[in-house]
Amino acid sequence: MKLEMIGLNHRAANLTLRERAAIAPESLPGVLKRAVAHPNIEGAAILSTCNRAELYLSPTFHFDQTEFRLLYCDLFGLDPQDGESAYIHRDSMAVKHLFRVSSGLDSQMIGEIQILAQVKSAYATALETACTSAILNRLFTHAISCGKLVRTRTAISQGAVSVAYAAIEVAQRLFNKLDTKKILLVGAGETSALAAKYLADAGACTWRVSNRTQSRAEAFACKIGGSTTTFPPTNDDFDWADIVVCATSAPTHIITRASADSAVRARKRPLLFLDLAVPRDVDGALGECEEVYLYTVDDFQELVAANLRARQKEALRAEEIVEREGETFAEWYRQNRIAPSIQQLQIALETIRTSEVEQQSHHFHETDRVEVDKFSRSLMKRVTSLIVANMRRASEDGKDLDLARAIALAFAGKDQETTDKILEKLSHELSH
Amino acid sequence: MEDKLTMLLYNLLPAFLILMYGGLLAFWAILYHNPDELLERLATRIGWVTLGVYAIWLATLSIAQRQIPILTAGQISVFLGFLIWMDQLFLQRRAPQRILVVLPLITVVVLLLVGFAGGLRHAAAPEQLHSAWSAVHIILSMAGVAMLFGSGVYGTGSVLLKHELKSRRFGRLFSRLPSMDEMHRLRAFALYFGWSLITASFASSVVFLFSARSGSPSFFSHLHEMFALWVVASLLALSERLKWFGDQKQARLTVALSALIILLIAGSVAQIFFGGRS
Repeated sequence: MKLEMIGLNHRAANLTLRERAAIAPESLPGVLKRAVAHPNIEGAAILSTCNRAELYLSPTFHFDQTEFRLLYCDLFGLDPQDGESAYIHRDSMAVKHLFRVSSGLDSQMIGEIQILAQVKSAYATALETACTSAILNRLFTHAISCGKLVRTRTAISQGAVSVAYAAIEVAQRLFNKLDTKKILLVGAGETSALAAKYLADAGACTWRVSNRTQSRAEAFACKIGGSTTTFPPTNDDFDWADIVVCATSAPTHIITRASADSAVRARKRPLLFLDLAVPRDVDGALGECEEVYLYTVDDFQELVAANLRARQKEALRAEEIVEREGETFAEWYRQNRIAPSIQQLQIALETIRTSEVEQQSHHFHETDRVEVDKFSRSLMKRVTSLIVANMRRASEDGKDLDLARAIALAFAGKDQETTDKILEKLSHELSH
Repeated sequence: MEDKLTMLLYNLLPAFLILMYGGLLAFWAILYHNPDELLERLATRIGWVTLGVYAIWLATLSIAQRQIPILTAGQISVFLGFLIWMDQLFLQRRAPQRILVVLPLITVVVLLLVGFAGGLRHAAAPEQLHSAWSAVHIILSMAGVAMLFGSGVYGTGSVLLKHELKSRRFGRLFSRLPSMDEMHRLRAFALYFGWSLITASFASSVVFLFSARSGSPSFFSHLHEMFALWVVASLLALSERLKWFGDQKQARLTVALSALIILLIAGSVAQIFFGGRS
């Protein structure tokens, strides 16, 4: 297999080095063109994200490690000594690495979804710049489908892994869709703004703001398209709301059981309190009410930890899928490298068949000619199938290349150039 | 030939169905521990196939005995199992996560086993059960019960999810159950649908009794039970409609009253088959 990759990720390099290695999207085509201009490179693709800067190549011959590191540093604008931290994978290991990357197994946050889109984008850029080779095309399309497969067959990407998303996850477990839910924001600071942003992304659009300073409440409500209410909120506000987000810097509880009891006791639908303040804004005793669901930052951290544990467990199943897909890719590669010889065999046999049928045609009646044609085709098909089957069997012992070479020579046609090309490619494979 | 058909209808097919549903139950139990969207879709398709086999069996049985399978307590049990499974597949098309399928599956397996053990052959079915009205009445009430059972399943789901949410456990049930809103919606839908069927069944039972004037005392007693059952179902539907209680209380009430209704129906069926003989 002729594949090589070199790169830096969050484990191999610190943030400063990763920042220097990152390539802006608009510069990517230029770097790719410089890479494929190298005489030993048939195709190249670059995966550049905030956590990794990786170069994938299909070279004519494998690079010497030092030369490869220098090439990487040159293309990514790094100092030669920076290349020492880079990791290098070859052939099946390079395949497995990209499959792990696209599946989110190599990510800082295991199972993250964005990486799949980034792999797609890296491939699209390489394709648009006409810098890919047949093997890189296959590698990237297979890596993308492997990433999708892992996410379909395991729960590796499920469950929030940040506190903010954990709060949204809890809200969605309770309410499913947030577009019809009413949100009461208590506090108009940075945390409230961030919570409002995440809730709005999840579909929320009806807001009421309660803040100690009325002018700030009005400015915030205006920004998010909501209305204001008194501080602290009244029973009427609790009756109105479905979700209450509390994020003030008050040293004591803003919402006590006594102040909200009559409103929540009479409720017949759920009321979710997301208490993001430290110290807490909501009296814990309120959570004992039937329709009240009260969560603090600690609860969300616990949910994040539980989700991470679940993802770790799913990662084991994902690794098995990656392993299987790696084997499928290797099988494709083995078949692909003998494909030109098989094609040459088919062309040679077909030429013989048509010329023989043509020569003997005067011996047959016109109606029999169709039958003779059919019979000769069937005969050639059987011969080809037998040879292909034996070549596949030989590939298990690694003898398929010798056989492919023998076939290329035995069935060489008039086009010597094509035969030479096939033999050259096979020689490269054999030398490897 | 007839022996072979009898063997197929009363032994082989029910045994095959028990195996299929048992296998499906094991499949879903594995999926609960190892979520796999692809296999979940496959399990749902297998669920539809088992429903098809079930339907073919019941249809053949009906043709063979020239009456829908309501002639013995065992037949009613397997017929109810069929309706519960059909309702479940119908309801789960409306909910993206399907892990609640385990509860109806267990019930269907139990009903099939009860039917198989209780006897499917109709040696001495009560005379009245051969009339067309009895068929209409029993089908409607069983379909209603199956729907109320579905409502109870989603009510149970809500109670379980509430427990997870309140105890902040964030375990498998938290991540695999449909959202609370969705379960409330499905519970209410199944309840209203079930109530409509029970109401129609009650009306048909009145017509049935007046048309069969020679009805035995056990059938008049059955009318009283049907009325009690209809009152319970109506109260449940009314409390849901008028929001007498909060969502959670209503869910718990649905679970309790659905169980009561199912018990009443079971008692009523027993009254028909065994009441007259004592």
